[in-house]
Amino acid sequence: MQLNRISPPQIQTVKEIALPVTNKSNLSNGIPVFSINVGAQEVVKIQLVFKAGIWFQSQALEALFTGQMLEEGSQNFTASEIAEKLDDYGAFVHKKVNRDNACIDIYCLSKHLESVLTVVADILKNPLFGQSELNRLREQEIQSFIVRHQKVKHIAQKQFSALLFGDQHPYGVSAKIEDYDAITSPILKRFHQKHYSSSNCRIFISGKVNESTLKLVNQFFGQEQWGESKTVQVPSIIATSSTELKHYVPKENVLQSAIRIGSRTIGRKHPDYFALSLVTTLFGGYFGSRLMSNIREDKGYTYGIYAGVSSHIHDSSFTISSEVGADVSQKALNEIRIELKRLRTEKVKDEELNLVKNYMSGTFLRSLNGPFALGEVIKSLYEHNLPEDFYQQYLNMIHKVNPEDVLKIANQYLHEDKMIELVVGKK
Amino acid sequence: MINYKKFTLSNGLTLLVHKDDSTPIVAVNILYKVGSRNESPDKTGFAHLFEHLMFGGSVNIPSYDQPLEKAGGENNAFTNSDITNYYISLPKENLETAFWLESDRMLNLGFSEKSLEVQRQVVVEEFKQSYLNQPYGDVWMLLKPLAYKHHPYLWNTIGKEIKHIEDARMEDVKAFYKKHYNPNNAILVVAGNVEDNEILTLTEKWFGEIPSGNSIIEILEQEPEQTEARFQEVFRDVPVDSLYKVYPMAAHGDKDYYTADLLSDILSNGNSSRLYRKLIKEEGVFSELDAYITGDFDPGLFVFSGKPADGVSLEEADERLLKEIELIKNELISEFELQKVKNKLEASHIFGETSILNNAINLAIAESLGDANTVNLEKEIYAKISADEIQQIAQRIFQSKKSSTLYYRSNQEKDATK
Repeated sequence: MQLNRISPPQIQTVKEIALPVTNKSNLSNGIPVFSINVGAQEVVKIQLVFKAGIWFQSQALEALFTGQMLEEGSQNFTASEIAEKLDDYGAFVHKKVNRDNACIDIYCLSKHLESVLTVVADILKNPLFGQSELNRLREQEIQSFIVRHQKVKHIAQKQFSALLFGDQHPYGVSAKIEDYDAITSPILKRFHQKHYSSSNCRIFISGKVNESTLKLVNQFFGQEQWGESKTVQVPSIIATSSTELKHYVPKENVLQSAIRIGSRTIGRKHPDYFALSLVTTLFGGYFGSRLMSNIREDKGYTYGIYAGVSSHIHDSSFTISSEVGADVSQKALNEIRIELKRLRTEKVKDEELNLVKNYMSGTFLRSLNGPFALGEVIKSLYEHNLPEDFYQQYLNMIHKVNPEDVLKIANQYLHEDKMIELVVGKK
Repeated sequence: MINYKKFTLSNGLTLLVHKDDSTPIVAVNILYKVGSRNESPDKTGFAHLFEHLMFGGSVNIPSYDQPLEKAGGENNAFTNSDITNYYISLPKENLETAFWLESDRMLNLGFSEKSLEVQRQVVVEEFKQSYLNQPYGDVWMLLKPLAYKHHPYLWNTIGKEIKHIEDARMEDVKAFYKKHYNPNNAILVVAGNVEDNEILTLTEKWFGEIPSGNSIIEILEQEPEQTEARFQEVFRDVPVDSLYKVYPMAAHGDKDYYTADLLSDILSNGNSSRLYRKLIKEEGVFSELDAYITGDFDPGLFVFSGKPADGVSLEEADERLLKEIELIKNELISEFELQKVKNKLEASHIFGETSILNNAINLAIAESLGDANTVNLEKEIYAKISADEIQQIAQRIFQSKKSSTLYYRSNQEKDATK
């Protein structure tokens, strides 16, 4: 029989998801622990999350440097001992300081967990913030700051956050070169004492997790209160977007301009969030999106163009971003505006809408691939304080969106006349 | 341990099936044994441009991406000097969609003028974004022709110059496809919660009828032994000077390759590695410094790249780096230091194995080098490497007359920091 190569094979739509059971418990000192036991390899990932992100700092770089300096020497280990031990156990420690939190990720072979925690507990509880180590780190960071600032993409990112949230807001603020010199060892010590404490900590564990894993975690982090016992209050800080809509930062001798267009928008807890995330995916969130099809695949103005919602804990934003040929900046901007307008005036065809729904379901399934990816999914659920069936709801709601909803959402949240626009490079 | 079963179809297509029942996602990886080393010197950048064209639709399927997205799948591809590799991940239920799509574009690509025209332009933008509009973006455009004078590795995957891409004609593109995109030049890997038989049946169904192409016997011009140190200096509009130094080394898969890999780890993998600890942390000579190997299929390069700290000249930094290189040539490393990098390497392997896509790609690459099972043997190979062998390989690779050094100087005023 001749093979039919024209019609696609039958496909199924993913409508149900099965997340592994999250075990919730508390260490003896009260630290909440969320753990999932998944995966075939004898590995474990432990994440300690502290209320110690940019949101909580009183001067630029305070949060970042506190996190960065943790591995630079502690009460019981010098910086080189720490490095040597962690390398010898084949463990990886990543310090991620973001706008909201500081997160210490430990990737570890199960067999070395105890040895690794011996080191990590000491650097978390008793770091020294030595002056000479700080000076060295500062020099390194200043150099990489200077290099980053040559890139149109980087300038655009920083500038655009400031336009969306205000340049003093934790989501909009960015460091200036002189801020590096203002960071001192006592400032970091103080920030550490206040924020890296058992009363401001949550722990997430994924991979091979059993009784002895939890016992070890309790032994190192749960025995007594550590750090200042006061719970850090989350200050409320109001964001204000620029009222001026068009912004331009000229940069000479560039081959490409960086473009950002967007606005502040609703977050994960808003009832329209699911539909909005579908509409933005359709618009610029996958390879076949409206923006990619027009501006890359039809016009060839760019190597890539994306749009999406980033949802932080206190606020969210919608952003379109691209680097385009410097000589076609205006043309690209026009096309983006045409696409935004089309989104809220022309009804989407069922075929395109269904494609996006299926694509998003698949993407969601992919985000559950592997023990560590699952760990991230569970962590973001609890960090954003979302209901446990949030992801099932997400799938259900996405599949309910119809073409009228798309128009409504686009008109309400993605109106081209209400967006802030930034071009860095050539106009 | 990555288990797998191997099959070969009568048209020469190699199939590997890796079963992992812990995930709802299936990875489908297809590797074509063609990279930029197979290009002719006056038509460079073709393998990579072709990778873009593979998404322009095939004879029976006008759009590649749409049906895949509809099936909840996602794909991407990369081209390097040696191979072009395409991969898909999608829900297991929709696995057959991947077979339908991949087999059709192997059978007959669409070749529309529009697709060629647009992708030429997209690749030109990629060229600008990654190589020209980026501080230090052109480093490899300088280093490769410094280190290679004959072997096709002397040009980058993106191409020697933008003009080669702009000049690409339809007939060239078609000839390239006819020569390289055949079942006997490809390796298909399927990984996920799948059975061998089920996958073999699907492969026979979709790929079985694709005719094989002429077998390719291409003898690439090999690089003669370097006998004199090479040096180049450039001035660029960047804020900080940068130092690059490369030495020729063994081809991927050689015994010496693994020893050199371990040597690069000793020098610069992790915060306790020699270069990081001494030259960045303790002495503050560099603000960034890396040592790594390129991993090419033909003899590749051992690379040092770094930025001197503020106030340190390129000459001083270079000299200090050379001292460290001499040290590892002259003194045997301790058992502890050796064991430490082996432990770290083993752990990285185990962490890597948690991703099926990663496993699928690694199996395909190992098979294209001769034997997929290498992925499982490597652990033993690394474990057996001795301190003596590390010293010997350092002495063999790091010979001054075999070095190529690039001083990439800033022409900006020092205070131009805003």
